[in-house]
Amino acid sequence: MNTNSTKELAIQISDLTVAYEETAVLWDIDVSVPVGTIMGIIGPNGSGKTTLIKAIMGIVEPSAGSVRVFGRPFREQRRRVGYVPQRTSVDWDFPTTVFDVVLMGTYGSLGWFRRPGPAERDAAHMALERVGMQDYLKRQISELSGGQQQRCFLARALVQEADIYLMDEPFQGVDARTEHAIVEILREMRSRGKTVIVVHHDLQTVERYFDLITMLNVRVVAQGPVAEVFTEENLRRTYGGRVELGRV
Amino acid sequence: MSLIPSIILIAVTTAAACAVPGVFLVLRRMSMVAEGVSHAVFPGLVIALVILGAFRSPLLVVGPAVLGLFLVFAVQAMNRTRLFAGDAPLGVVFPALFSIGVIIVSRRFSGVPLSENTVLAGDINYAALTQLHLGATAIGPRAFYVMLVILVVNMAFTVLFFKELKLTTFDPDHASSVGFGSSRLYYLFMATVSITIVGAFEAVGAVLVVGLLVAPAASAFLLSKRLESMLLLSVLFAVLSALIGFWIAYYLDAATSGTMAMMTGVIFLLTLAFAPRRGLLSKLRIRARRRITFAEQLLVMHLIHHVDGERVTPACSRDGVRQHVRWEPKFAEKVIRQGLEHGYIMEADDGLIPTMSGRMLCSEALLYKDDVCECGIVRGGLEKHEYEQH
Repeated sequence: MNTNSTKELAIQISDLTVAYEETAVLWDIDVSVPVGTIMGIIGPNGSGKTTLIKAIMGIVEPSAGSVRVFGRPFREQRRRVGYVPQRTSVDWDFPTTVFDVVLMGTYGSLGWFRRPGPAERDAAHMALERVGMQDYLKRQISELSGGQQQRCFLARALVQEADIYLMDEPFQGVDARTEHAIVEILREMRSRGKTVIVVHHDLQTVERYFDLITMLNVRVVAQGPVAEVFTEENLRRTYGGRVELGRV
Repeated sequence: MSLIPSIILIAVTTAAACAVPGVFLVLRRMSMVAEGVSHAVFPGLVIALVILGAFRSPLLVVGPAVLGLFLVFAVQAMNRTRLFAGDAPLGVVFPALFSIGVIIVSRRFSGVPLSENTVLAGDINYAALTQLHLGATAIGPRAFYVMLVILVVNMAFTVLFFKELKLTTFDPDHASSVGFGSSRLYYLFMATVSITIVGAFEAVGAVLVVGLLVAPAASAFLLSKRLESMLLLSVLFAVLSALIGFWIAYYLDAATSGTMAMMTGVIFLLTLAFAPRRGLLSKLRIRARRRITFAEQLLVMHLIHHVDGERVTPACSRDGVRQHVRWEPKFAEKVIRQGLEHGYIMEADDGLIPTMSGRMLCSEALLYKDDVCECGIVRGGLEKHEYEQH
């Protein structure tokens, strides 16, 4: 691989503003994510973390600014982006099985009307194995623990074989084993040149999990390598003095 | 065709046609929107009747369907302003639309062949009287053919867009991220709901149609592990309700639409009570079992503490157990009996002692806590220390 590959941008967000009616949720955001990195997004509740993720995929319409995925609009790059929404954003009583949910990850490449076939089924089986859920494929999703639900969602994204993964709070309310499994998968993805963006809330693990960090509170407070940017001063500016990092 | 088979045919097709889209209404938590649509289509039907006269053309469906979609659209637009909480927009829009229909119908010379009663509860007997003729022979009630077409349309729509409906219903954000913008499909779906309601209007009316849309699907939801089985069960429950409902109406000499809708409610109550996993009784049973298992774990923990320590005899006697864990004597007796039965504890000379499988039971509980320890929710060495002890 050439040495300049780190300079290539997986995602470039320029001057992005998102507003609901006339209230800005994100204000004039610039974020760049180089290929092959794991970037965390942190910030207090209501700081626009989820909105930022959704704006990248055009799920919410920006009022201004642009998002480029590998230099082109998201619409043209859909297949290269995998999305893991917040676990709590869906109804887990929905009558479907673990395997079916994972299979849904193949729907995007199938397009309208085409049904999943053997190739899609194989991909779903493999994704389930990667997250250690192969024994649960016939389980109804309402019978899963929080961690299992999260791994099921992760498998659904893995099936897409994307180059960029956007994850919204993947560690929220999961057990240690799941957290560990997810982190392992993130690192493995990075080693294969994938790019991962993770909305995160646990400040204690930021330094261990991420290469880059974006600190968000409607505006971008700070962004860059964790070692440089993740400071008490920036945290205070992001959270408004309500947080102690608890480091020595 | 004679009256009774005509009524049965209309009842069964109407119920089945409603049961199919009902599944997605229930899963999308849109039952009340169905209620709204069922009222909003009314003025559309009336206006179409005024324009087209009593002439029964398929065009009659267009007016109501447009108004049904208008309601969905208006409610979404009002929700987007975030000026109202909850379903207030729905409550404002659908009575307003419904009232327009009521005003037109109640004018004496409007020429609309609908009575105000029919609007609410339908009149299946009247519908059965309007027979369709092929040449000179009557081939069955017109309403039956209308509902049959709607049933086929609904089934075709569901089969054709099964994958897309499932995806957009379960996780709209993910659907939209992979390129299934859900709004087009959503409006198409709401159009089929509107048409279904219009078709069913004549037979069951604006209020009872909601029961047919929602109740069979809700019952099926409680029993289903997969979307496919929920659809099948929903149709099955709807057809059953129609048949039993007709039978009751026949013997009571009551309105078929009423007994049909009532039966959907009865079936729902039965599934709510007896559904194997999600039913109320099974929930109670599971809770009771968990309570006992937890109590057994507590008991074994208590015994482990004292068996390995010095104060064996008083704490491990039946009386000691009762005092230490502060249970009602009756409950303590039950837990000890169950523990003995399951082999978690044994009776020895100096009281109760934990068995190997009892220790396993406890270590399961502790292993879980150990997990929690690691991820930082619970810190401190207490659980670890206890765990290392055995």
